[in-house]
Amino acid sequence: MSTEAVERRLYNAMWWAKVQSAGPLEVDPDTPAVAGLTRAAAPDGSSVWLVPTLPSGAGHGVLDELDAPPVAVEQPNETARILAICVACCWTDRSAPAWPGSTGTLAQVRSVYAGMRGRPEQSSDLTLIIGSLRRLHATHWLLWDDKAAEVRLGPRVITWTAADLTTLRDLCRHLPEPPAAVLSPQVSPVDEQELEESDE
Amino acid sequence: MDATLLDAEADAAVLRVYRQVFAVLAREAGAMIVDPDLLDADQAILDAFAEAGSDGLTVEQATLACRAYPHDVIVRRFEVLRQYGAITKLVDRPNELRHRAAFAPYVMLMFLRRMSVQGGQGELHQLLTLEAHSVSDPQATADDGSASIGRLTKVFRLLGNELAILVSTSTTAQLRENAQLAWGNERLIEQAEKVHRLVLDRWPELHRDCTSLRMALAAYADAVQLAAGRLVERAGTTRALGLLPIETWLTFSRGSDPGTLAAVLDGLLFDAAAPDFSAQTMVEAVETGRRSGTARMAPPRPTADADAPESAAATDREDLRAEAERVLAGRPSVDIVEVIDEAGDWITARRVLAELTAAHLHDELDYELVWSDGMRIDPTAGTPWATEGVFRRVVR
Repeated sequence: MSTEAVERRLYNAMWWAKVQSAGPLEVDPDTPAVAGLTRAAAPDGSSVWLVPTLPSGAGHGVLDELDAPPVAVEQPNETARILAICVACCWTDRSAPAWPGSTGTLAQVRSVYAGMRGRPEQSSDLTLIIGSLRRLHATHWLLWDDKAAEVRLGPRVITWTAADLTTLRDLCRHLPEPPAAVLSPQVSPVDEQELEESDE
Repeated sequence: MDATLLDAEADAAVLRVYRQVFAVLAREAGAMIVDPDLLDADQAILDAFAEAGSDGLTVEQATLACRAYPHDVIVRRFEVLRQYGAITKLVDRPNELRHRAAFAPYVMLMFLRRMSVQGGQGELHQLLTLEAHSVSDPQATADDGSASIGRLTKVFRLLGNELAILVSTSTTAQLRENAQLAWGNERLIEQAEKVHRLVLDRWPELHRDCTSLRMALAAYADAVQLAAGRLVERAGTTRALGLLPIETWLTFSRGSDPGTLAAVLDGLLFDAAAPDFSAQTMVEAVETGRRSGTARMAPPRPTADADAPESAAATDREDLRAEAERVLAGRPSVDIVEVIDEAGDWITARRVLAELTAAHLHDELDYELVWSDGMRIDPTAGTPWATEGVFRRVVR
């Protein structure tokens, strides 16, 4: 094996190890491509997410086949509902892929949630919603900004297939229409940096 | 006469070797070794003889040398081996205690062991190499080629038959256990085809034998394909990968050290452990959420109130009433024999009777069916034997 190939292998192995332990990674757009990882560019192009690409048929369905328990998540149904609501709020152009989508707000999510439940909003709803949003943020299904109360779809949604998207399109039609988003004014780059630091 | 005697002697020698070879297979006359531990015992005995050198061993010495095994097992195996000539007396005289072992059973034993470990695939590869070697030998004759082809044909027939029978008759678990029959089949077929090519090039007159070999190979390939198809179909997309049962994978992943596990995963990309939200789970979650949350739904109402379809029970009741009224024809009561005769044959009569009984049993209908003791017998009637009774309106 040539030196170059060995280096290439090592480079891939390093990124793979990172992705395998931490999930999708946000990296500088200048990072060279890594085999097996799909690049999901952030809407403003400032960064790129590396998401592992699994061959079709190698997803979570395999766990069922092996009778192995899936990765546990707290309040799985509630969390899945919030994810569905966020898809309805953030995936505005339904003919385009779900990634990157647009930014949605907490107000939208709350409104759709109450609409789905078919009753006026209750005080306990907000706790459930915020909890689910944080859980989904931690697993990169959503990008949830706690301070601005804004949400975007996470890089993992890039793994949804065309069939998944068709199902979701249908689901979005069944959910109540979200009100128009009222976004908070764009944060300045300095603030953004502070935000990131405080996140870590 | 001389020639015949010589022949007989050669035959006897062959027979002796065969007896020795099959000694390890036979626990007693006609019985085969079914337990691999017995092979171990045999090997221990033969090992002891190898150690003993030219002096040989007595039965007691042999059991002492094999004390790792139960005494009676060793004695029994010793007897069996002696019976089949694998172990013989050092000098053939009465009361000779010392024995010697022949080497052929040991060779057979090694062969059996390898067969049991590798399922005979290795041997088959070697056999194919040997056959290729012998048919390409410049001194080989057409007869050698024909014999070679014949042997290979039989081997592949047996292999293909076994697999085909397994595919058609056995469970998936059995099929998976016997999957080694399908392993490396491409290499085997390739090697066999090489022999086939060599033979056909050298002795074109053997084309008939070659055709049967080709057919055997094709049958084997088909059987492999069928078996693989069944395994894949039954086992899902992933479990058939190694043709191993799922427990094997689980045991491996639990029992391996980090180094081994890392080596397996080297070059494999997988996602970090994360909960999965497929579109389907989201749809289901939203559905259940909607149901639990919404206010109580009004029960479904018939669209048109006026001509609402009656329930099946009501329809049945009205049908029975109509039938009862038809039978009564305005009278307060009617004789059953009359009803039956009116119906004509028994097939119709029993249907009428069934409906009258149903009317009798119905809670909301005021009819009753009362049987009496008499019986009407009339060979000319449609139903010659009829119990007398009365069907009547109940007055409340």
